Order: sequence, then C-alpha cells, then structure tokens
Amino acid sequence: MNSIFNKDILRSITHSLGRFLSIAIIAALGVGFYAALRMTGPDMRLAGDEYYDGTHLSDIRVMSSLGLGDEDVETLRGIEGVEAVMPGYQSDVIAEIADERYTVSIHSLDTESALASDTSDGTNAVSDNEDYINRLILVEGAFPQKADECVIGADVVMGTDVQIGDTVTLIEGTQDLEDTFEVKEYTITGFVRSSYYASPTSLGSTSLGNGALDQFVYVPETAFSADLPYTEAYLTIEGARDELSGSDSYQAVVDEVLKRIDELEPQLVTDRTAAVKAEAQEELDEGWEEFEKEKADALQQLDDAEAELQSGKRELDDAKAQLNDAWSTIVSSEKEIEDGWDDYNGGVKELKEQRKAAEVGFADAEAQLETNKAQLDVAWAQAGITYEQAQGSLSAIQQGIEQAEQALAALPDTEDYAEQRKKLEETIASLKTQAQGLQTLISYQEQYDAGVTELNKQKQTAEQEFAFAEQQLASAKQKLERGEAQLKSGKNEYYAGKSEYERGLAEYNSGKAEFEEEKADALRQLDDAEAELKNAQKDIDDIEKAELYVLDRTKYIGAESFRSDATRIDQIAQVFPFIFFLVAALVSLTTMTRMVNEERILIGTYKALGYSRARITSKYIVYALVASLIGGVIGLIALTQFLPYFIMNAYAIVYAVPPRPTPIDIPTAAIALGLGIGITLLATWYAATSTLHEVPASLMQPRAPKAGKRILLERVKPVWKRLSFSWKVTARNIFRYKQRFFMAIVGIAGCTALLLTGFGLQNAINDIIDKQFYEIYRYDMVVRADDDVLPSEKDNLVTALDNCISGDGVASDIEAPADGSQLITEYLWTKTENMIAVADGVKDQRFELVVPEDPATFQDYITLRERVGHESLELTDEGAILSEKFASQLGVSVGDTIEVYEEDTVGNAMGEPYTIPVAGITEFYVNQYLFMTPTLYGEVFGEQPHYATVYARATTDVASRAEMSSMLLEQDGVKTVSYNDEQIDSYRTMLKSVDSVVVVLIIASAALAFVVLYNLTNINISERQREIATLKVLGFTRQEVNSYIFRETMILSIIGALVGLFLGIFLEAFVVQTAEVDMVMFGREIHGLSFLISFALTMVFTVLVMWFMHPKLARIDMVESLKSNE
Amino acid sequence: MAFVEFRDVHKKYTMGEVKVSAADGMDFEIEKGELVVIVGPSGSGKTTLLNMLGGMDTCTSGEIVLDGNRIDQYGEKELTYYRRYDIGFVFQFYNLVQNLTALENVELASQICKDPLDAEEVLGQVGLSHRISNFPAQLSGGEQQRVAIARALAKNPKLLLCDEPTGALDYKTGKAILKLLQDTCWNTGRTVIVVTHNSAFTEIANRVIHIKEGKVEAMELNEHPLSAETIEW
Repeated sequence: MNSIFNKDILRSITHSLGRFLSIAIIAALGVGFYAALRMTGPDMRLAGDEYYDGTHLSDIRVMSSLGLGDEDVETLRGIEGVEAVMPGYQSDVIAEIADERYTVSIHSLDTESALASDTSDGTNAVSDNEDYINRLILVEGAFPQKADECVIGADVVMGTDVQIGDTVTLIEGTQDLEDTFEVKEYTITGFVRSSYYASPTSLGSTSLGNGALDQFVYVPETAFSADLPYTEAYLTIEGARDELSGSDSYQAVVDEVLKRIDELEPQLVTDRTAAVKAEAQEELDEGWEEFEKEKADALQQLDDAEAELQSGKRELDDAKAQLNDAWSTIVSSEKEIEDGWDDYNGGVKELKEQRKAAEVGFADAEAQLETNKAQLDVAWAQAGITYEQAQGSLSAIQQGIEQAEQALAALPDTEDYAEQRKKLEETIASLKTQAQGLQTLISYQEQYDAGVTELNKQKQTAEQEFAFAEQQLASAKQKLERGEAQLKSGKNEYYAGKSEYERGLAEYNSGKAEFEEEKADALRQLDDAEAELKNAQKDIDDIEKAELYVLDRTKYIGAESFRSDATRIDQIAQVFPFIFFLVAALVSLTTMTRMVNEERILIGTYKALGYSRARITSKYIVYALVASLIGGVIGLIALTQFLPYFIMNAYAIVYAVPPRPTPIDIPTAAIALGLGIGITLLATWYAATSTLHEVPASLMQPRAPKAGKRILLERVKPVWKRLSFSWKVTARNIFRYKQRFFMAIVGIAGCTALLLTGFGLQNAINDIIDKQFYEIYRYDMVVRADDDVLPSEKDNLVTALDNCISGDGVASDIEAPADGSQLITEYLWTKTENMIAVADGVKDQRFELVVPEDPATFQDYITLRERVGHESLELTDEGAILSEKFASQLGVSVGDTIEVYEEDTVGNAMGEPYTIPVAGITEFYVNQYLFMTPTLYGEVFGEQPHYATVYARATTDVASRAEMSSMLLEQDGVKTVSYNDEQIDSYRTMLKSVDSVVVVLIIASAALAFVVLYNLTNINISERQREIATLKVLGFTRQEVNSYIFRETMILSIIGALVGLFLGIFLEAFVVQTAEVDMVMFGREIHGLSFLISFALTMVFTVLVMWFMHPKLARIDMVESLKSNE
Repeated sequence: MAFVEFRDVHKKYTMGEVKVSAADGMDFEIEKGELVVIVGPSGSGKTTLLNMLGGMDTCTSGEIVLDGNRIDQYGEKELTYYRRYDIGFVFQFYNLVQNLTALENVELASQICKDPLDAEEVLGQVGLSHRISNFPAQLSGGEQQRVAIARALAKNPKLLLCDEPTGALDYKTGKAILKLLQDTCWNTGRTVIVVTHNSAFTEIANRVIHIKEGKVEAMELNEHPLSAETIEW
C-alpha cells in the first residue's frame, strides 16, 4: 500500500484525536458492555461450577418416601456412572438458636471426613474420601466432633448475633423429634459455607413455621436416631465434574445416570417397600404378641379384681345376715326381757299374795292350835297330870302290861291257869285301857305339840320358801337388768355393725363401679390397642410402594437460583448492549459523515490524482477500523475483567459462591468485537460512499451549505414570533441534521433510560420493603400454635394475648414499650396452611392459605387492595383473594378458578385437588398467599377451619418484643413467634446488590452521555466554526456564543432525556421482570423522584460535557475561521 | 484628531517555526464619513489591518484609535463590545447564518445592539424587501452580500469594514455592491473602509491607502471620487 496514503491516514488520526476517541470510546462501550454482560452469565456459571466441583456438590439427591436402607445405598452405588454415594439424614425442625427461633434444616455430616478435609482456600474442600459429598467450607471455628456439636451456615443473616459456643435447641420437627434425634441440643463449634445452600437468602421451603427455611445446621451422624433409615443419598457422577454445571453437556452426563436410576427405580422401590414392610411387620408381630400377653394379663387382672369384689360381696352378705340375726336376737331378747320383767313382776306379786295367804294360814293354824292347847290344857288339867307324868305312868303301865303279858305268856295255856290267865288277861285289859287313855292324852298332847312344831316348821318352811322366792326374784331381776344392759350393748354393737356394713357396702359399690369403669376402660384400651394394631397392619398392608425422589441440581434451590440468575443476566445482556451498539452506529455515522465532509476537497484531490473510489473509501474504513478495534479491544479487556467481577461481587451478597477470575471467552469476545467493528465500518462505508459518488470537480468546490429549512414550529406563528433569532437557529438546527439528531436523542435517551432502570430497580426493591412491610402487612407479629392445639391451650394463649393488650396478668412483668404503646393492640385468629396450586404449563406454586376467623377485621392486619388505583378489596364468600405474583404465576384473573392440593412432607402435592374461585387479586410483594373466608373454606374443604395462627399488631419496641416473645413461647402449644419486619433485612441485603448494579448503570449511562454529547458538540462546533466566528465578529459575548451552541445540545438532551424516561419505563419493566425472583414481586412503579433524578443526572452529564467543551468554543479564532471559503 | 488612527502598528505571528510580520509599523489616519479603500497585493497585510481595526485581532505593538478610544488597549471583553456596538463587518464569503432567513440574519445583529436600525428598513435600503424571508441558500451571491451589508449596517456601527466584498461576486454584481457601499457612505455619512486587491476600486474612494509588505506604502486623498457605476476593471 502506498506509504504516503497510509501516512495521511495516520495523520488524520493524530490530527483529530477527539473524533478518533469518540469512535474508539463508543466502540469500547458497545463491545465492552456486550462482551462483559455476555460473559457475566458464563463467568457466574464458571464460578459456580468451580465452587461446586471444589466442594463435590452432589449431582443427584435421592430420597424415598420410605427412607433408604443400606442395600438401597449399595444399589445406587452399583449403578454405572455413579462415582460416589453419601447416604445421610436430613430433617426440618424449629430450633432455638441464641434465644431466637428459626426454621432449620438439619443435615448429618460425615465428621471424620469433614475434620480431615482442607478448606483453607475458601473454594475447595480437599478430602481423600470420594464418598464425602456436599463438602462444607469451614469459615470460622471447627467442625463438630461430638454428637452434641454442630456447625451452622455462615452467610445467613440471623436475627441476633450468633457466636461459636451458642446453643442450638431443637423445639419441634416435621417428624417426631424423639424418633429422629438422639441429641436435641447442640453447641455451635463453627460456621460453614455449603455449596448445597448456595443462596443463603433462600434456603428452600419447609412445612414448618412460615414455610421458608431460615438456616441450615450440620450435626454428626450420631446425633440422629440409630434406627432411623437414611433419609436421602447424595450421588456424584463420573465425569460430571469435567463439565460445566448447568450446561447441556453436564446435564447429558447426569441424565445418563438419571435414566439408569429411572430404570432401576421399580426394583429399588420394590425392594425398599418390601424391606420396610418386612421390618414393620416384624415389629407389628412383636406388637401383637405383646398385645396378646398384655391382654391376657389385663383380663386376668380383671377377673381377679372381679373375684375379689365378689368375695367382698359375699362377706358383706354374710355380714348382713348376721346383722339381721343379731337384730332378731335383739328383738327376741328384748321381748324375753320384757317377758322376764312381766314374770318377775308377777312373781313379786304372787309372792306377796302367797306371803299374805301363808300368813293367814298360819294365823288360822295358830288359832287352831291355841284352841287345841286350851282343850289339852283342860284335858291335862282333868287328867291331873302332866304330860311327863303321863308318860311315866304310861311307861309303867306298859311295863306292867308287858310283865302281865309276859306272865300270861309265861302261864301255860291250860285251864288250870285260866283263872290266873283270865285275871292276868283282865289286868292286862285294864292296864291296857289305862294305857289307852293315857295314850290318847299323850297322843293328843303330842298331836298338839306336833301341831305346834308342824306349824313352826311350816312357818319356817314358808319363810324359807319366801326368802328363796324373793331371792329368786332378785336374781331374776338382776338377770333382767343384766340382760337389758347386754341388750343395749348388743344393740350398739348391732348399729356399729350395721354402719360398718353399710360402709362396706358403699365401698363395695364404688369399688364395683370403679371396677366396671376400669374394666370398660381396660377393654376399650385393649380394643383400641387391637384396633391400632389392626390399623398398623392395615397401614403395613397399605404401605404404598416407596416413592423415589430423584433430584438433580436443577432442583437444588441454591444452585438452581444461581443458575437462573446467571440466565437472567444473559437475558439482560441481550438488551443492554443493543443500546450501546445502536449509539455506536449513530456516533460512527455522524462522526464519519463529518469527517468525510471535512475532507471533501481532499477526497476530490485524491480522486483527481487518480485514486480509486475503493482506495479512498479504504482510508475512512481503516480509520474507523483502527478506532473501533483499539476501542473495542480496550473496552473488551477492561469491562470483561471489571463488570463480571463487579456483578459477581454484587451477587455475593445473595449467593455464597466465591467470585473467581473472569477469563475472556474468545468466541464471545470475537462476536462482540465483530459486531462493534462491523457496525462502525458499516456506518463509515455509508458515510463515505455518499460523498464519493460526486465527481472530483464538484468535490473541489465548497459543499453547498445545507439549506435552511422552515420547520413545523414556524407555522405556529405566535410561538415562533416570540422566539429570539438564536432560538430560531437552534430550533432549525435541531431538525437540520437528522443523523445528529437521532444520535443525540438515542444516546441521551439510552443514558436516561439506563439511569431510570437503575433507580427504578432500586424503587422496585424498596417498594417491597416500603409497601409490603409498611402498607400491606399491617400486623407485626405472627404467633403459630400447633395445628392440633388443645382448646384449653388456646384459651390460655388468648388470656396471654389479652394480657398483652391490657398489660396485666402474665404480661405485667414485661417491660412496657418505651413509646408508651401497648404490647399488642389487637389480634386475630387465622387458619394458615401451606398448600400447592397446580396449573397447566406452570410449575407448581407453593402458597400459604390464610383463613381469618373474622374476615370483617382482616383489613386491619393485611391491606387487601388492587395495585393499580389502590381500590380496597373485601373478603367475601364468593371467592378467594390471591396475592398478585401468585395469580400472575398461575396466569389466573378474577373470575377464574384455581386447583390446590395439600402438601406432603417433601413439599409435593398430594391427594385430591380442591377448586377455589378467584374473587380478587391483591397487591402483594412477598411470598404467595390465598385469603378466604371461613364460610368459603367450609364450602371448599368440607370442614370448618381450625384456627391455630394469630396475627397481631404489636409494639415495635425491641426489648418489649423480646420479653413478649419468650412469654408467649412459654405458653403451651405455641410453636413460633415471629415479627414480619425481621424479613426486611433480607430485602435490604438484596437492595445492596441492586445498589451496585445501579452504580454500574450510572457509570455506563454517564459514559454513554459523554461520548454522545462530546461527539455532538464536537461536530457542531467544528462544523459551525464559521458561524461561531461570525457571531463573535458580530460582537456576541462569550456567554451568548455558548448559549447559541449549547442551547441546541441542551434541548437535544432534554428531548433525549424525555424519550429516555419513556423508554426507560419499558426497559425497567423488562429488567425488573427478568430479575424478579420466585415468591417475590418487585415493585412495579418507578417513583417520581427516580424520573426526576434520572432526568437531572442526564442534565448534569450534559452540563459537564458543555463545561468540558467550552474551551474549544472559546478557542475558535475569528480570523482563521473566516479567512477562506469552506 | 482623526477618526481612525494607526500609529506604528506591528503585528507578528509565529506560524510553526516561521515568524511572519503581517504589520510592520503601519501609520495612517482616516477621517469620519470617508469612503476608504485599502489596497494591496495578497499577503501585504491589509486584512490584518482590517482585523485589528475591527477588533478581531490585536496588534503586537503600536496604537490603534477609533473615535478617541485606544482599541489596542482593549481586553477581550471590551473588544467584544467594541465589535458589537462600533463595528460592522462585511466579508468576501458573506458568512450568513444558513439557518436564518435574510431578515433574521439582519436581526441577528440588530438585536444585540444599543441603537439598531430597523432590520426590514435596512433590507429595503439594500434592495431586498422582496426576499426578506428567504434563506441564504435561496439567494444569489449578490443578494447574500447585500444581506451581509444590511446585517452590518443594521447595527448602526461607527465603522463599516468590508473585506473583499466583491471577491466572490461576478463583475456586475460586484459593481452593484460597491455602489451600495458608496451610497451608504455618501448618503448616510458613515465611515466605510473597503479592503481589496483590486486597484480599480481606488477611484471611488475618498481616501486610498496602499499597503505593501506590512507598511503603508502610500496614502492619497481623492478630491473627486468616481461613482462606482462608472468604474471598470
């Protein structure tokens, strides 16, 4: 190539450095931003990949509804392509960490491997154990060594300052804590970073608390129950680490294994189901055995008890018979005694009578005797002897008789002695008569005496008899009296016995009742136990085939949201550079047009000298090429190093993925450079060819000045007339050069739009805080009780809450809020439940169902209103009100219906769908909700809502809150107490990352503004040098000249800025919707102030450029400028 | 004291490494109301003279006086106001603002003056009443130069300075412009200075100043200047 010609090219560069730089800088911006934004996504993915590889993040997580056994783990390990398997335990719990409650995901940690691993570089966890997967990076402290030690997430924002040595206490779990954990209290030994939880601000969902996990904790495996089956297994895949995580080739490697797992799934599922069934059956059989034994025991005991009762009853009956006998004895004894008394009294009377009769008899006998005596005395007196004499005489007579008789008897019985005999007989007879007389007397005497004696004797006898009788009576009386006493005591005894009996009876009765009850109870229990066992059997029979959940990284919330954020950047990268490229094209076009125009005489000369058109064109092409190449390369290198790093650092606030050096991706760089240079060259070629068509002669002539033209505004006479000439010039100039006009408008509009996007993005996130937490959430506190909270516990809680309103009772000890407000001003019971909504073509949406007990006051707790127009919405029985993001995710509007499912423990939809009509969509920014009335709930779900959650408007005083929380947590049945402004922090964190994006946008827009305005002003000044010189000659002051030129710039700026504000609305909407994360709706309004600031900043840039360009204007020399024709 | 005085005015430039002396001790005087023609070959320094007198350039040394004021001592700001209020300029290439109509181009100047003449009237005087709302591109060269003269006149300046006013015009039009300038001077008593390389113009002037190599070579007074219509070149 002709060296002189090249020299000219070189000179044209050095002699118009400003122009050269304009092209270079805009090329730098266009190429740089395009390449940098294009590379940010891949750089993020690379950073993620490096981190995942370094920490052996599992490629697949396998869970089973029935857990996993050792054999399952072995099966998985045996699958072709599986590199390593780490079985483990995981469970969601509510835990208290440093006095605050959090929903926590607890994982088991292979402590041995963790302790042996080297994590000192912050990205890699080096371990010899391939089966150590999801390796943790130790940020501070040490890994746990004992079962009661743990490490927790380092990057999670926590409510209080948590330190090593603090305690993690498990409060409640999704499963029974006792069954799941050996240890329920842990000491924090360190803080870790887990690639499994790449996004510390969204750790995943849980069925506990408000549905979102707050923190993750790793504990030694031994902290979990020994007989718990593995809950999950983490797999790494051979060769997966060689691929970029999330890339198609990575996915292909993983899919291969997923397919194999899928093929094996029936077997795995069947085996697992059988194993679990067998185990359960064994357990159940033992249960049956035990049951039978216990049942027998129980029945035996019941029988014993019954027998005892019966013997007791018999005893009682005996006692009763005895008592009855005793009573009849008592009654007969009483009668006997009564009879005795009668007898006795009769006896006494008889005795008295007998005595009287005896006395009369004796008196008669005595009188008789007296008579007899008197007769005797007479007789005796007649006989003249006394009795003793008579007796002597009689004995003498009798002797005489005897003698006589003896004598007679001595005389033989012959006649000879007859006479003597006769005589003796006669003597004897005489004697006998004598003796007879005497005898009679004596006998009378004796009779009398005998009579007296007899009488005396009788008297004595009678006396004796009476005495005896008396004695007998007395003894009878005594006996009676004794009998009476005995009777009395007998009676007492009887009564005592009777009451004892009655007591015994009562005892027996109650004993019997008790027994009956206990028996019924025992039987029921047995029935229950039996039913339970039968149920258990049924359960076992019903054990559904184990369901296998095989999750790859697309289901890992951290990795996936990091990946999708990288994708978002990709999407944004497709739009933003467009602005820069468009501006680059316009800048090149105007600049090169100007350059060609300036050099038209030169071009004419070259043409006249015989240079070909292509050759001459090549000068400008080369010029533009050099400019855009240099600019492009510098921009490429600078921005691709800076921007991805900057953005990754910004994301580091949200993601715990360590930023890494950002390599330049050659294809992307080539495309960016190609695009940037191509656009510039195209514009240059266009500018050059239009001039080169002219013949040399006309080129040598000064170019006919572009004719002044009337513009539309001039038709508006009243306005036009009022304009000063300089305004008129400005107005006409603006529309005279269309290229420049568009360059300026597009450039400035781009600048303003970028600014507006940045500030709008800030607004969008600020709105989440301002609107959601200060306008929509009107309650401050949520108290969640157990779902099956008892009525009495609820009553207690109500009392406690009421106390918080009134400030007495359990609340009286709580320090009153410093601002003098109540602890709680009002509260509302609600039913809340995490559910899942399913719609075609949309991924399942988790949401919280909220049923207020009293829908009328619900607006006091959550503002229900339409976002546009803020029209208030009422909860009616007609349908539910959905939060906005939720509705838009499902793609439903008012009048549609949605289908919702209950959620199982792994967060999947289960059971039958319920259909709910949609009656309203309410402005909402955080989480997804569905609000409905109890009546509608009843209609939809066929049961009354069970209210277990309390929304309360509470004090903002931190100290009072803390005390109130702990008081409420002490109430039985209360699970968690949370304050919704605690969430604000995480949004403020998000805001910080947006702030840095805003800085990037401001810098980018400033660069854009400078390049465009510099270029515009530069061209304006150089092209109008004569005009300016003329003005100067005419005596325009510096001020006037400035305003003459810069007014145009200013007006273009203003128009551009206004257009930019308009375009910015769409750009911002695009960015906001692209950047929006799940479960959160960013604010949709750009604040007036943001419009104002964007506009003002654009003006500031404009003024800065003016200030910068001013010397150039001042330097224009009148003489030189006016010397020659143009 | 004369209306315009140059006393030993020097002007030195440094163009790269070459030192050029554009004015090398100029001395002359001009009286009020005169039509002055300054004539000299290319590069003789006549334009430099005009520029210095018009306040567009400053002298390196010497005194320049207009109506008793020392122009050479003016600073930038004073020079601006000097150009604004005291001087009217007419250039070879008209230097009209392309985006303004004839009338507006005149107003452009008149609006910044203390005591301007009516723009339309002045345009009438230069014979352009019928084209006042035309843009420069729509006017012929002569018409454009008339607008330029009208623009200069409308300022009501003390001094009308014209640098080769006919240089870009054809013979006939050039003559008409010269006539216009002559009429302006003679009819309104305004001092008009015309710089030209064409010595034929000297006949229409009251005063002729010959410049050569930065010096006043000769100065002559013309008792009976000819009418511009009569001269030939």
